[in-house]
Amino acid sequence: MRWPRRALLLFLAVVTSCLVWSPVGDAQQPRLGITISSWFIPAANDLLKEMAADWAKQKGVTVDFEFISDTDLVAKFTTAAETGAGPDVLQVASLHPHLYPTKLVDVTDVVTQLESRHGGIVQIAKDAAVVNGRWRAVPFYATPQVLNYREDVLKELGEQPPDTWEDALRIGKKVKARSMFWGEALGHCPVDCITTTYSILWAYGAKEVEKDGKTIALNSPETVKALEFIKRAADEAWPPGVLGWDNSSNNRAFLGGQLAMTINAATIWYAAKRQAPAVFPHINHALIPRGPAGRAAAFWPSSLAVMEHSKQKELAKDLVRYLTDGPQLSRWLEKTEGAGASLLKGLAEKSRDPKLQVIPKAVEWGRLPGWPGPPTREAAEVHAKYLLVDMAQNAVKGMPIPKAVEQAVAEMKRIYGQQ
Amino acid sequence: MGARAIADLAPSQASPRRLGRDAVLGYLWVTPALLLLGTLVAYPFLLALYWSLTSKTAGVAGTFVGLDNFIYLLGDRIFRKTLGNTAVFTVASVSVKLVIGMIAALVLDQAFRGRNLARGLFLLPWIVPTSLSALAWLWIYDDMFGVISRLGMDLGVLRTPIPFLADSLLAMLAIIVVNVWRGVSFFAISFLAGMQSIAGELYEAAAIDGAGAGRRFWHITLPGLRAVMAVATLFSVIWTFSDFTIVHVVTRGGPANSTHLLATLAYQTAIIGGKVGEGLAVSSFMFPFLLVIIFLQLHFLRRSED
Amino acid sequence: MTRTRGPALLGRTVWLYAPLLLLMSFTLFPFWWMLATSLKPDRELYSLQASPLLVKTVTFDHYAALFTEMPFLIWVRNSLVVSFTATLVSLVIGALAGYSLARLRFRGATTLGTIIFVAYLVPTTVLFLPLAYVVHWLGLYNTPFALMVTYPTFLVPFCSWFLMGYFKTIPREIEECAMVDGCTRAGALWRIVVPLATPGILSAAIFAFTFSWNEFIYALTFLQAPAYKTIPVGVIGQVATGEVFFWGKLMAAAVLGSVPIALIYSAVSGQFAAGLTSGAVKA
Repeated sequence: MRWPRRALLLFLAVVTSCLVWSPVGDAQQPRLGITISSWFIPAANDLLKEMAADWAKQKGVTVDFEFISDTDLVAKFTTAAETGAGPDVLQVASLHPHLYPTKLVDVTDVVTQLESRHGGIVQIAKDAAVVNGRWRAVPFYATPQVLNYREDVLKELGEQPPDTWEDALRIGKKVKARSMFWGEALGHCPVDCITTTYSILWAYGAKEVEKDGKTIALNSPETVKALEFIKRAADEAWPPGVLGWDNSSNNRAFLGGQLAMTINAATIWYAAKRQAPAVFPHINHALIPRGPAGRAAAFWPSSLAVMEHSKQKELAKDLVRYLTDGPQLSRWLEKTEGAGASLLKGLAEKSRDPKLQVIPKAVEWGRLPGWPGPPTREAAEVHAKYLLVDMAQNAVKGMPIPKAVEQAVAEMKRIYGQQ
Repeated sequence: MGARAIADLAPSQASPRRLGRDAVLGYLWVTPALLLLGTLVAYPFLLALYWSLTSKTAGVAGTFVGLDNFIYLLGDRIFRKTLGNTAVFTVASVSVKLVIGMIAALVLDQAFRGRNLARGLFLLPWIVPTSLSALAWLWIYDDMFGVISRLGMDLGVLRTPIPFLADSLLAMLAIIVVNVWRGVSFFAISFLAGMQSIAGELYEAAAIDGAGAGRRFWHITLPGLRAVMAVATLFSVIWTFSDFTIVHVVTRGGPANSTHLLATLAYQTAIIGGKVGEGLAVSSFMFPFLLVIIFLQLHFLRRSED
Repeated sequence: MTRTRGPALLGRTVWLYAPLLLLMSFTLFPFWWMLATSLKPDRELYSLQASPLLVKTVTFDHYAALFTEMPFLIWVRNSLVVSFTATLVSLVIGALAGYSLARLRFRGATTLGTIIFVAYLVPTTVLFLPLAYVVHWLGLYNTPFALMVTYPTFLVPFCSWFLMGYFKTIPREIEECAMVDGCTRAGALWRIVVPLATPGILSAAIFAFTFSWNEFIYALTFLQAPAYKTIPVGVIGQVATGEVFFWGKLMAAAVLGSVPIALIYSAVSGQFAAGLTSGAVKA
């Protein structure tokens, strides 16, 4: 019977030492909590923390800097919105400002200052963060989705990077003959799969709703054309596994030398530099292809918001002002090695690798779910439920396209309350 | 008769002798559990139940809508599919885990060198955080890098990689395999512990009487494990039914909602979609199933009195 | 014992070695991949020429990075303290409740035993939202106590029923004898039942511990300060960033986060000895 006693003693020793070793905050200084989604570039994360610490020292406060995965950000946000307990500053993405405007402090003053100093803010950032004329979050950065392609492979085939989706398909078929692929994610994943579906739909002129944000307009010849294209692409070019791809699948496949083209943020570039030296020299980027109705890409900007429940709103606003302001933002963007793009029109671009020139240009093509209508709760729900992605999946799997559209429209009607 | 009767596993009912003192002690010793659960579970549970009857979204109190959410869900194609998925997933996973777990327990009960190490290693799938092991399975199932596909192709058995996660049926099988992989240890270790309580003399006596291994298993081991089996199965069903992380990491409910489970759909609806009331209504559908299962198990346990 | 040979060896192969090999392969094969990945430089991971299960160049960089690039030790400390405390609390409460339900006769015992399952009727992945309120009101938000107090909510029902099951397999007569000799119920529980139920208690402990160890959503939403983070939240937050995962580090964390516990279990599983009750009955 010796072991329970030993275990008990061990436990007591562990607990006591841990309690002794616990962090004892400086009780005098106010503490601010800030939660940011973790960047895949440790240096960028570290710099952000450093800058916040600098600011904190100046102000005589302590900052608790928390990094979490961006997919978990929403759980954090929901808890904070619900219970009023959470960080003072939170990174918001997607349509959160529109869904919970009352939970985010009005930061119009901060943004106006930013605008006046840096020549205006791009439209998509406005779409994302302005609710009823007031800014609910301060624009931070975007990681635009662009076409990543293998220069060497395309050159061998005598091709330029595709300008239209049809071009992409044509090239995609060619590379298939060389045992490589053009691949686009079409599974249930929050970034790449949404980009694929929404971007193609928009490029062909399809839309979920009209500009009023209420009239469902999915059932249209444009939607059918877009789906027909997706089906052709899936049958003739994309690898069969795309229906199960998540955000990281195309990264892996590209780094492993399997993909010749794929739409992604500039994360592949960064990873290849360190992890796939054989592929790295041949990577280049181009704007997302366009369709008959134009060019559009589904991605959204990240913004920093001050939570309404914060007990030190002014301090929090100041921290946000500091981090999003030109000098700090430029320093930080540099660390992102080209993957991040600023949302400030007038921010002088420090040297950016020529192969990444297209990144800041791509920002203007960004659109939010619900476009051309405003970003609404219903659009957010359609997006969260992957309704359009499922529609595309069904089309690819062989469901007659009109039926796939019908099903999606029926679901949308339920969400929009229009049975 | 050194054997001991396998008493009914259901909690004892009121009856003679020492009733007074036992009763006081009984209530007293159950109190901490009830206190903990009362404050930390009952309230959130009732709140969740209430919210499922409203149109609540995060941070915004909704209006009372009665059973509207439930009616909406029953008419929702995605929800009905999810219900079916969850049933299939649970039944398949638990059955396989039970059988393999029993086999594993029988194997790990025997004496062999390195047995303790084997037992520890067998527990690894249960110990490693699912959020991390599920990522490993993501690689294993990857359509380009997946170990299974590549081994198959190297051995000449496959011509092209198997897109596990792109096909509805394969994807369901895929997550069942991950769940089984993780959960077998629970059954095995529970059975193993249970086997230690079965008196050795029973086996000796049976062996002397000429009973073979099969009969010894069927007539001694199985009955001796009945109670443990019931409890383990009960918990496994409850946990499998509300499993979340595996689907969340590996398939996110796809392709086309063919692997959505109640817990993942509830999360997608309430947390990602922001419709808290509706999401909680999704998870409320678990109640009737779980209650039925609990009831059935208790019934089974009571009937297994000797 | 003589070496098995001939038909005995065949029997042992069929009933022991073959199934053991199959079971271990199935259990450990993903771990083999995890281990290999944690020791591989990233370039090898993405190379389709290299075998996924073998490592050409062994590197310990990923393991080192866990300690140098991130506060892994702090996460380990937090996970240890939280899991230990939650397990201990749940075992004690569960043992008391389990014993009452197993042995003591009082009205409403069945009902109480069933009500305990209420805790499982709403999955934690949505229950965290209303529970966050309670945590906030109790002033526990963003303290380690938040987890130590909320983890038992899903551990106690499990421990109660699990231990009740094991207590029931111990012959009543043993306790009755002791109590005739002047032992109290509490004494009987502590000195007789608990030792005899050791395998069950150990199993319950290891299960409870691993539940706490792996728990994610409560740790994510009830804590904010980096100094309190537990391993799953810390690792995923710092290393599984959006779509570029640092697989080597992730798998190194998975290995470090699980192998030590498995080894501890190996060490204590020697306590499982058959026939614990047989001697007692005869006595």
